[in-house]
Amino acid sequence: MTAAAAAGALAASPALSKESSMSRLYPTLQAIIAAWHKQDVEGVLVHVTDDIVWRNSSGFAPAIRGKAAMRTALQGMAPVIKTNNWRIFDYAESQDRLFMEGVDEFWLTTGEHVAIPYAGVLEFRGPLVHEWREYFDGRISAAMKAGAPMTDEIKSMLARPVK
Amino acid sequence: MGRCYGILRQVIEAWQAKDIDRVLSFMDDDIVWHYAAAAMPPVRGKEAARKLLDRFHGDMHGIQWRIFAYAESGDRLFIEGVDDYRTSDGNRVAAPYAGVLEFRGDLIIGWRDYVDLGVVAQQKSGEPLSKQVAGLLDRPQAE
Repeated sequence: MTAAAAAGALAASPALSKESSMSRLYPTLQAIIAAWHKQDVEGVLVHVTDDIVWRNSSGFAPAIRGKAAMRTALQGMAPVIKTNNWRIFDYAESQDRLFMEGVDEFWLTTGEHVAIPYAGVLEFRGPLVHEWREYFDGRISAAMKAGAPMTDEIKSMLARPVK
Repeated sequence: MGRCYGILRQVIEAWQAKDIDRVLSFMDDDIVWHYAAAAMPPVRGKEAARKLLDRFHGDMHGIQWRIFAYAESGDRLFIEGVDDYRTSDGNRVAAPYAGVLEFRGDLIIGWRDYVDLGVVAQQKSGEPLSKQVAGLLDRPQAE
């Protein structure tokens, strides 16, 4: 589902609309997702602090530190991704933290279909994200980028409704 | 302390005491437990959960399961923490993870932990904690 469709679904559901109206941080994540769906790197970066720490690998790779390094990383990702369907299944907020559960799903320009279920946390300073941590099994990402088929386990996890 | 987090604190205390029956007492009979979400099939049902806990029990020593942060939304608890323990070989395993627990009443019916089993395998083989893992663990525990 695209971000626009997700927004439409929220508006169509009184319960979700109420939950959305009570969410302070989630709309920023929705804006980031909408920007990344368009591969708009600057549209993503406008929502993060200059000193952001992006721990996007569950601990198997070093953190990406600072907006400039994040820009370099995103600019490296964008050209090899044909389309992406990053989406969030569920979330919760506590003070300046947004917890999320979702899937980073995309198709490479070389044809491989990659879907990485994950959970993560965004920490905000004011309206901007200054810490971003994602947890998943990096071996799944590597295998699918190499062309491994999607497991039944992952398929079942992707079949959840989007927030 | 949130309602769901209070229940998880009791689960943690029971597991650190290796009291498997007490851990299971907080699980619904129909629990679906993704102990390594997406990487491994889930265990379904309390009896399957018991077998998994029995298997974990033998190779986990000095368990220091810690939660760094959490948030609740309805019957769902989101957590960020670490499973920190020593294997029977004496190697330290400290796997940073995030998870989601779903409750039916006071019992856990859904549990999904997102963790990198590659990092766990490296640590089990005796590799020291990487700088990036250490960076994820250097945090105070949640109240």
